[in-house]
Amino acid sequence: MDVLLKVDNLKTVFDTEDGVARVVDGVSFEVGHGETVGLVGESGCGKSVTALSIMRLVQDPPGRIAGGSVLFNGRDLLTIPEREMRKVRGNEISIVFQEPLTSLNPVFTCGEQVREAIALHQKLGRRESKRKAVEMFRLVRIPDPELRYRSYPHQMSGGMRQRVMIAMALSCQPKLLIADEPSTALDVSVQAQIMDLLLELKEKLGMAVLLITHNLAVVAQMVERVLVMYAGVVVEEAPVGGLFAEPLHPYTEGLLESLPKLGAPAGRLSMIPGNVPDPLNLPPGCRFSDRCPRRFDRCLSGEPPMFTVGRRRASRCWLREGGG
Amino acid sequence: MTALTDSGGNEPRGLWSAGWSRFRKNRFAVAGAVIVLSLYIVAILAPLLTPHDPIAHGDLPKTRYLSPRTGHPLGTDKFGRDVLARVLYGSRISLTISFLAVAISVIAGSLVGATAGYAGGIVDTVLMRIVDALMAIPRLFLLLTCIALFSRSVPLIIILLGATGWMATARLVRGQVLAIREQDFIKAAEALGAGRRRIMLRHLLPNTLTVIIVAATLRIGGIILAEASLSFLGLGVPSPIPSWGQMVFGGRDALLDAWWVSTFPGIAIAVTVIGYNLFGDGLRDAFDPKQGA
Amino acid sequence: MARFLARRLVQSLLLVFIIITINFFLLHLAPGDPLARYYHPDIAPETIELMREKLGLDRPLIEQYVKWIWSFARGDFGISLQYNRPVASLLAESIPNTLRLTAGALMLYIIIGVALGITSAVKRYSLFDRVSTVAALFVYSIPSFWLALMLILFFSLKLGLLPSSHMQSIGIEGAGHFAMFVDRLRHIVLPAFVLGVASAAAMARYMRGSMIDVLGEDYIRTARAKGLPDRKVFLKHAFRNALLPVVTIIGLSLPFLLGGSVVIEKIFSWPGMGRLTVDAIHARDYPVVLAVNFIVAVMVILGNLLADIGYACLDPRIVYTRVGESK
Repeated sequence: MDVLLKVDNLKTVFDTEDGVARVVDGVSFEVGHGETVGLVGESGCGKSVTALSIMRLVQDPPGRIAGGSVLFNGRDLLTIPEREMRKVRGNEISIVFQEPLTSLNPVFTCGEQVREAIALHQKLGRRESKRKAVEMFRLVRIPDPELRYRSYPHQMSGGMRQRVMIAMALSCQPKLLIADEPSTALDVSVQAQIMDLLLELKEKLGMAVLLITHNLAVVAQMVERVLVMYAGVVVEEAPVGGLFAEPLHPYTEGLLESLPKLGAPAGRLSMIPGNVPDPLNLPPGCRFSDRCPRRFDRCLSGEPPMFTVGRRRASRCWLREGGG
Repeated sequence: MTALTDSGGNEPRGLWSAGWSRFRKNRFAVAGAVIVLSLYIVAILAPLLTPHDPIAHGDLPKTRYLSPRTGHPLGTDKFGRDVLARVLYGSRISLTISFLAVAISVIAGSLVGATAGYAGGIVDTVLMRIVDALMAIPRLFLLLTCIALFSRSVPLIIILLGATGWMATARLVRGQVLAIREQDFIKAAEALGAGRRRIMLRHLLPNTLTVIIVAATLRIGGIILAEASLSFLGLGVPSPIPSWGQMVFGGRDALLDAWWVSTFPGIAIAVTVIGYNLFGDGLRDAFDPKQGA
Repeated sequence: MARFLARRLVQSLLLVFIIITINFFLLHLAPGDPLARYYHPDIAPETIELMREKLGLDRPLIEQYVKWIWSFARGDFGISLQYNRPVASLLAESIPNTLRLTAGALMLYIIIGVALGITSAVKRYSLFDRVSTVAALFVYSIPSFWLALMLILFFSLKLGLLPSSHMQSIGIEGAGHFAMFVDRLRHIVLPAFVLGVASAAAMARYMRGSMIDVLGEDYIRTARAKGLPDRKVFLKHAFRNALLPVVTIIGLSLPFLLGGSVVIEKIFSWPGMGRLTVDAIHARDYPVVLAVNFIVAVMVILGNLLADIGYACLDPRIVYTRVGESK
């Protein structure tokens, strides 16, 4: 498969009063053309910041990208001028954020906010761009698109707002869509609708999707390959089937065990003890060592590299040293 | 501050010491405090700082409009009076009037605000509508209207400045009272059968004290400017008592030939107001971060 | 929208009513005979007796009060003692002049304040931002009358660039429309600047704070994610949201501007309400003072009402939240 996006050793830090927080600390992965990849982890693990870093949208100050490269179609997005980057944003790479209410500007109509992106990138006049925006509303199945075009965000439900966000993101047929927890802020019943819509549009338009979520269940239905992130690094990479069948990192094991299982006795869900470490105060050695049930001496002395296991898998755990 | 220590369950000591350490780190705030303190020292020591009399006329016309020189570092005015002496003595008027007027407005505003907030209902509505109405009249017009009614004197100016400035404090205190009376320790006190007035005095006011002090400090600058404006219009402190606003006005006739007569008292006003504003901003940032911009 | 407007209108009328009442009490609160204030060397005792009768001061207080409200509501403010003319006609002459001055100051300060505030927010912590922060503090603390005198000293007396008093030059009427316009513009520059500069400083601080808040919002990130250039992000997406709280501030600045105009009009011999008031006080022309007090309050209330309407126009959410539930 052709590589569309290749993130290599990406590092993003935030300057805080107590020091420099390395929130993304050497993340590397690839996304192929038309591929759907899940980026999974608990909140605070750096997955959203990874997404913002790819788009060069990290708030600066306090945040800044401290190193690495983001190759998109062979071009390093971190070194091109801002002017060039603006042509990529919303056009070749789009993003859907978690909070559809706060992510839409309250003083403009929903239609205008979609139209604006179309007019900008496709160099269309007002009437043409409006027609295309209404078309996008129809595509994301907003009922009554002409009417809804004139609605303000506060007049719409959460699900509808997220559809507007998706319409905005897809309006220029991007090659890559980053969906950052697109359904988390919505009602449970609406969540499934939004995920189904994304899946359907992905099939129809053929773009690659980087789906960021804390919810492994969502990943199972949606993606082909999974990246598990923990404390600023990718700790496991695997095709989705393999990951669920046989996790290669204790952290992934913990995540899977905390999922409710169909048919299993309705007992207590196991939880990973402890919390995600503070990026200002990482444990020595392996980042997961203070919470890991399988910790041994090696884990405290040095940080494990990514060990390749088989052809398509990798794990950042000393237990996998030598590919075992 | 003694009232604060037994205000009950609000750890005032920690609040104050943390506030002071924040205040000390703020260079602007410290500068403001130094300015304000120096002004009070100057006001008290004025007779020691200048040999000249601020009121008695000089040897006219020989000493009229002397430019700054040794003996008269800031020159003399129309009546041959030393400008420096008048500026120094003028600080007494500005500082006294502003301090007392703020005290009056804060006390009156706190009482009204606390009453409205605590009583609620119709009392609250009526008091707050009156506050709205009074705030709709620009302060200077309100002052002028009152001045037109009574004969001018320093105590009257103080009372009027105080009486026209209490509304904002009333609003502030009412808001604080509404917020605080919902807190558990007040409800507990009420449940224990403590009288209403007792609750208000013992708990509510001490707890809003920081907010009030900060707001009062920030208001002093405005009061000094208001007093100066009145005196400039010839409707404030009666002459010949040296007041900065009147001195600026006095130099108006000879602006081109004797610029120093208007310039230096104006600078004195500006420095004082800047000092109080810096000091007040610093207090607010240190003790009442919520109010900050 | 209509219901929101109606509610604000009723509130405003209530305020006007209270202000009339306050004025009434101010008059009667003063020690001694209310008419004692009308004693004036130029006024014959018969006139005062006539006034006593006309004002109904021999009637019960409650009747006086009702009469008082009725005459104020009709715009009948009595006769000026100083000029022996209806107060209403004096006001009709001076109000437009004050409005012109205030409007000039308002425009000036909004433009300066908004521009400085946005620049400060966008270039946060830059040298520009620091300098304008300090400058704002200074400007805010300088007495306006002193600043006025210093500017007159410099621009009028020393450089001779701008006139230092009155609204227009004597004999300019015959000089054609354009020359007259330029002449009036030259006359309004200094007073409007002095009147507006302190508000500009305050405005710049509010605008900066508001803009910084807005720039941290999610929808700004969305606008950037769309690929919009900074200019559009700031001036389209951020600006309109940042303006919302500031519109209220503009409404609140009116008492400040009108109050300031008293001093400014006096210094620049501007024939407006402020000067009218000061002269009236010196002449103990009490009906004028009370009428101005009332008119100014009405202007302020009207200004706040306009600010609220402006807010409602800028923020599509407001209409819906006021008229019950959304959708």
